[in-house]
Amino acid sequence: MNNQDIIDRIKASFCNLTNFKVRQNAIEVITAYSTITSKFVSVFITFTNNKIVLTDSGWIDQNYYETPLYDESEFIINRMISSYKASFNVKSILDKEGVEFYYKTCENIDQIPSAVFDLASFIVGVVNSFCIQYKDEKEEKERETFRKDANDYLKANYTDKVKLRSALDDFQSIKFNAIINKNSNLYLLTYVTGSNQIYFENDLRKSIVNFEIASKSKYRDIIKEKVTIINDKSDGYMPERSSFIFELLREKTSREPLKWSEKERILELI
Amino acid sequence: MHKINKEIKDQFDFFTELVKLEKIVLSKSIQLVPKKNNARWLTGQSVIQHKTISEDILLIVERSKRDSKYGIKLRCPSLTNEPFFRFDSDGPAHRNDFPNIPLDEQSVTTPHFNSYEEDGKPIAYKNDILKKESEAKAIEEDINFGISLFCMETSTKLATGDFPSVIDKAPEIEFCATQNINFDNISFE
Repeated sequence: MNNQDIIDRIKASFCNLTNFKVRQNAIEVITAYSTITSKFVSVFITFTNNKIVLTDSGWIDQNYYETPLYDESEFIINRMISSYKASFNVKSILDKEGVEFYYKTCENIDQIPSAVFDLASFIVGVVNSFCIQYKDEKEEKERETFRKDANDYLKANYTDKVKLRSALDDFQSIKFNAIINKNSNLYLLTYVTGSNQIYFENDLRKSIVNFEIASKSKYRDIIKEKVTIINDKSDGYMPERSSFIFELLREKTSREPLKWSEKERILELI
Repeated sequence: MHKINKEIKDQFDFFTELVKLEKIVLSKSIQLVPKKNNARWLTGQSVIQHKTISEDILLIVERSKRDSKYGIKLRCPSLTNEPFFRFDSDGPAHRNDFPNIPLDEQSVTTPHFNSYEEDGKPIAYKNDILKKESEAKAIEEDINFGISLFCMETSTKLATGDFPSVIDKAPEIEFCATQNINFDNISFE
């Protein structure tokens, strides 16, 4: 293997990968950087209002790089853009039609190559950020389904005696999935589910803390049961692996968790 | 990313037939009107009649009001949701990420066609006309030239043998003759 040959090939390829399009009022640098949407990033160089300006020409904002658009990820994507802007010292401005232009300015032409490098790196980072689905759809769906099923079951059996997603008066921000008020007694219920062990244990932890807080409530004497309904059919239900947390939960509840597959036991209890 | 189009991969012969065999554009002129969900773009379409395939095929034209970038697509919803063949007049260069293509040949600038390879992977290319810079420039600037090129490439024409024309239905919006943004109107600091 001839090292120099390999080196020369790589240098030449990388160099030849950079192309240019001379437009009427700008040079478009078709850079060697590509996005995960298989597009090479373009940086426009123009001279305007006595400044050398490098810009993406609004291509990110108009989605010319063809990324998916996940509305629910708007906040996290905005934070990523801010991060990248700070890292590469990139600014942005809206044009008259409200299209956002990301840009850098240079004082002289010696600064241009470095600025192209920065702006191209910025564009790659930002465009790639748009492509990732941050929401765990499987987990969201699993959670929604279980909550609905449990809610429906309790409503059907306890009608107006059950309040869903409810709190004790003195701790309004601590919500229990259900509070049943029967014969002047309160029954606090939490639901636990998860599409993997991490999500499942997070739910267990929430239950532990919420029941602990409930024990400080002025209503503690009329709270007859504090119990958790666990979705034993979920992928995250791993009783041996989560045994320690289950033990902690048991210290805060009035009895062992009720399995969803044995939901009739809820009716026996309450 | 969802790069591979499984439907095209699984029915590649059907895809090839769609692209290569003769087609007739039923509308003599394609009228561009503002897009419903994006006021900066105009769109128009025509039904296509294929020589051997009876499934619905659409020819869609889209054009930006801002920088006169335009796109021409063929869609066959029964095959796949994405357009199965496209032309982009402007915009980013595509990367043909294939192991048998040397790195410095992987970049295909616009204007270019977008098609698919046998494995369902998108590929961009320039035909002989687009490889000539003067022709490419003319096509970038003239949507009717672009439509003719697209039709020639996909064996599509009107019943009369000519090519359809593209008309802007809302001519009070002036098309910018150039394909460039006026940077002087933006207050870069």
